[in-house]
Amino acid sequence: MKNIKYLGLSVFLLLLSTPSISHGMHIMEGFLPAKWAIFWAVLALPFLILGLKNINKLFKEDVNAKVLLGLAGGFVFVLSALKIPSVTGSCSHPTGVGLGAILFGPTVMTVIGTIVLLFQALLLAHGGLTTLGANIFSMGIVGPIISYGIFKGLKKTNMNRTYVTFLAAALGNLATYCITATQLAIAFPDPASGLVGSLMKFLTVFAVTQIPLAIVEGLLTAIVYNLLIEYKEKGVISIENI
Amino acid sequence: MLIIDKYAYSNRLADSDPFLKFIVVVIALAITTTIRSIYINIMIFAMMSFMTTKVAGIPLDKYFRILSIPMGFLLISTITILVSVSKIDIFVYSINMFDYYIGITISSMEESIYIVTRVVASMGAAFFLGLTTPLNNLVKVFRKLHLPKSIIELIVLIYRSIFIFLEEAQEIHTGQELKFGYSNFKNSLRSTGLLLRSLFLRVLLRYKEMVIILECKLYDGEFKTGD
Repeated sequence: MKNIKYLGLSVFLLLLSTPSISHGMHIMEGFLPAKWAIFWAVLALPFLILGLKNINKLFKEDVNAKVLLGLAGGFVFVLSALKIPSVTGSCSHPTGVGLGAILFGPTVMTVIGTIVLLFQALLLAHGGLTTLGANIFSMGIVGPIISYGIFKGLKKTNMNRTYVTFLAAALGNLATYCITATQLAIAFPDPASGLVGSLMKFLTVFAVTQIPLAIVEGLLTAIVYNLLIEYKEKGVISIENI
Repeated sequence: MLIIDKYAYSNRLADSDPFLKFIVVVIALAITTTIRSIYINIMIFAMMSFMTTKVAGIPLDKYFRILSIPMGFLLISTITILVSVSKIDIFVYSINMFDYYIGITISSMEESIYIVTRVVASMGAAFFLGLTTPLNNLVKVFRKLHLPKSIIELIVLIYRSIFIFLEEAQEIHTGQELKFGYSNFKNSLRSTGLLLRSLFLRVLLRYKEMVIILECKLYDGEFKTGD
């Protein structure tokens, strides 16, 4: 139990200088052949254009939205650079897009997610330039849409808000991991058991780190959400979406 | 402070033409991901690491440390591709477990070796760009590529706020650690939640302050990014 305190957030320089095992969330640089890298980039493009359109609309309505999104993007990056407490003992990081999608909406998160992924590739050596399209699709498109959909859908029912937030963030994270596993399986089908076998392999291998991670991300998002609600009720902050 | 960012500003190639570097890296990445040749990949990696360490002057030990960051993912994924499970024994090496064989085939072995060299070569190329080009120069490239203006503005704004929040997160974390905030799993979960909350509040506070500052500077909804 003693070393658990090291599992919390840790100095970021350490993150940069020690190789860590669970970088399963993003596909690394050069891992996908050009065919699949381009395929996922093309698939992500329409969502990105839609997000860009929405963002431009937002900027026209409110000139200060640009500043807010700039700051929010920095927040998501820091969130993804944090090491969070993890059950398995490896250091892992949340995607942070669950919270972002709940607060800002999924299409806006696609654009922010894209820029954050670019910075992760350039500044943290995490993810990659060639696999940017695939990672945008899993982390910037599917994850936020699932989180946002679940949050909006369950918000209307009289289910406890904490559980709703937990489910939204945790399932959004799980969806990201499933999509990443699928992307890897399609690119590298198993010679013996084909695509399905390959998918099973990737899902099992990453489940070890990703399922506890999804639960932790859900818990954290719920905690942060409740704290924000508390502040909102006392009138310290005003956010419309929560 | 992020180490890659530090070298991006302090290396010997920081002021060289960013567009040329960008083109070189794009060509290198295109070659590694399309042409299936181990030797070409190794050559590209050798060339890129030579340019990064010898020409740009990034210390060799730091360079390999940065390269080793994503190796965990490479190891796990490559082993996953390498090993397959089947009912019939089609493997070069295999272990028999119950009714199944777990082993390695020749094609998966070839594929794995090829993936490893491709990843290393692409990383060499991408890190050459990341380690030798500061963001202000990258923005010049983005402008030349005619990326939408709002994206470039967001890139610059997000880049700036990353360092503000990284510093604040580190300070909050140090404070929490001193108060035994990470002494067990439950505490660390709560501390991380509190940290994120404070960080998010800082986001909103910064936002309010920046709006006032920008109004004083007659902000009209557009940030000038070098034009």
